[in-house]
Amino acid sequence: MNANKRIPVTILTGFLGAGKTTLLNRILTEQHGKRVAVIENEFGEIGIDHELVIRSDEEIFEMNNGCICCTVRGDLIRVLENLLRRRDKFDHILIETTGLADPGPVIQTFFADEDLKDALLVDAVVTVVDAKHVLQHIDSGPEVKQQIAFADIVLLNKIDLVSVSELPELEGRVRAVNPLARFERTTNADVDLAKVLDVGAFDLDRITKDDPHFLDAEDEAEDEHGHHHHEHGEHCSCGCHDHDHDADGQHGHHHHHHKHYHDEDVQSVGIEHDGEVDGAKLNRWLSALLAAKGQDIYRMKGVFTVSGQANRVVFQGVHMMLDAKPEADSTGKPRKCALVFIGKNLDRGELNQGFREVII
Amino acid sequence: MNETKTAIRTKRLVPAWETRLNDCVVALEWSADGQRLAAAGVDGTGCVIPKSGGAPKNFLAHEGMGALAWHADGQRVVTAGQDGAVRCWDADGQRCWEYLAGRAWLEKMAWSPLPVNVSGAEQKILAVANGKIVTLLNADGQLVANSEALGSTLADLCWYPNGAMVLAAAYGGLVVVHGASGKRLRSYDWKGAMWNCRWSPDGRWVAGGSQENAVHLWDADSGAHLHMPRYQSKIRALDWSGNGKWLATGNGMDVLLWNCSGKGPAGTTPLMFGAHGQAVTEIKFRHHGDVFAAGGKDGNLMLWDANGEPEPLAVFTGSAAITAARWSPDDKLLALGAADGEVLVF
Repeated sequence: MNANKRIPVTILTGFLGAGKTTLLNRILTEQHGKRVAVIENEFGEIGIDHELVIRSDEEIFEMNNGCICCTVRGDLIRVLENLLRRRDKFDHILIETTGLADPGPVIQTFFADEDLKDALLVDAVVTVVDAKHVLQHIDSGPEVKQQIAFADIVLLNKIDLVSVSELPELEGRVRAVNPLARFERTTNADVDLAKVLDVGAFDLDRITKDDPHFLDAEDEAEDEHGHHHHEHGEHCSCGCHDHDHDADGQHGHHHHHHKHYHDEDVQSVGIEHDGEVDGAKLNRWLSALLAAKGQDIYRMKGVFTVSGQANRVVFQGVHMMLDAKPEADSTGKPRKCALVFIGKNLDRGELNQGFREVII
Repeated sequence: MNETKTAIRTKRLVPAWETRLNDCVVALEWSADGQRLAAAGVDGTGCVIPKSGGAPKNFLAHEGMGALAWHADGQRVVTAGQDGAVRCWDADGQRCWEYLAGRAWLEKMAWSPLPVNVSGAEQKILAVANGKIVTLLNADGQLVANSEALGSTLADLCWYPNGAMVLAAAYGGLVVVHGASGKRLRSYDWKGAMWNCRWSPDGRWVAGGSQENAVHLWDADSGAHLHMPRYQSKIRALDWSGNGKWLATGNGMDVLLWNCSGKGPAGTTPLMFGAHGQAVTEIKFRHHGDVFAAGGKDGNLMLWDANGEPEPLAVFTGSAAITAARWSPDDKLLALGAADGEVLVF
């Protein structure tokens, strides 16, 4: 199978009642030029008649390769294989998960199964969040946080049910769990579908190209504040600096425009450094880190400037699975490193210490 | 040296005839008298072709085809589709009956090898994997029984060779249900996603391939479990030799053969037959003897002798992944189906 012809897969998650089905029906009825096949969860309720809708129920199993966190979805492997025999019938696949599903095994299925890896490519994890109830749900169990943590796109839905003054607080709380995701505020899941269906979040060529925010917003923040991140090494990716965990008490000034919410169990850790790292040391560090903490790391993304290499290296990963490659042309781009981990029980100090040791 | 020897000894297979369906071949089956071949394309087309070739008789059976089998009467063809329907077709492609099973895609079904006693009457029964349940139909397409929901969607099913039991593969292992009542009789548990299942022709073993790259073999009576892990891929292909001696399994690009005669394969090393360039997708033994055909994702077919040299007896080089291989009842013809719709008979 030609790698360029891999069929994009959107993974749709969201807590019960958040508006997943509304978005799904919108995707199936609006004209967007794509023929979408849907794998619906066992409780799914698609309201319209559509030829390629298949039901599937979660069958999670562990790949027998000695990696404890490498759980995948057997039902998806089977259903997708059947679906792929009819690949002339569709050009996009959408997988709806249940409100309680862990998105991890769904994503890993596409990295772990050789046949699926050849034929399909995850386009993005889209998580629909109920703006009215998210603050109630976010602490009620691990599912909501997990679904937000894995997201590439967060649809902050039902904003008509909350006041304008509440929104920044709400969004701040959700961003604290996942600063990498793009946020879309919606009512009735009414969103420009191009922003949901053609994301390329797992496509390394697009990580820095399509999302300059990922690096450049940091640059702005840096210029504004006039100090170097690696001096204290820690910051939130919203562009502000997190002093709470910082041993360096020099930065007494407060420039925060909005509050930070650092959830105690699921959170993100961003690390930035103006300069290069040692490639061999970096590999050793990441391998050891993923072996030890892979189960707790939901998503990671970043860019490294490796000593002796003209082009920067872009990487992204899910749990223990890491995908990396050099940028096509890094000319004119800052010789720096930026990485973000999102996960559970992440040790900010330990991650920073580990990274400091690979700096040249 | 070896290569030269292989080149000299290995026969090149040339198809006697070929035809083409519009889309991927999902099922192939010879009629019991061996006079006709039925084939199904995933687009929903069914067709019947005389054994010597000639114009196929096509009929559009479903919006998306899952499975096809000759009716127990040997004259008609039964199809099952992604539209949740089971349909019966006569020789002219006219629909004889229809059973609407529900919303699930129907991908697997099989007729009982022997008549089953249903309320005092002996009749052949069609078992259909219908989502999480086994649906049992009679020859007129009427519901005989549904099993309870068996935990998860059924990936495969087959009959006990000597009686009224159906073996189904599901998440969590293999389950046996009664072939007339659908009542759950027993299970062979494995905490994983099973991909396929085959009862050995002598009834002694039940075998299943699982998605976590392992083959599982149970003593059908005692339930004693043998776990063969560390396969290079999920188990796409699995077949028994007609005498129940050999269990052939696809192991990535190789075929592994377990000798299940005598005390069984516990503690033994399997024979390995490997020459495919890509994953083995189909394995089929002749009805008699120890010769089997193995087809690959690379489109190549090889014939092997389980008792012979680790070199293929014959080779055919195709272009699209092989999706089905079926020997005629007299073992003289071999039909092949491929992902591009090609049907070939050797």
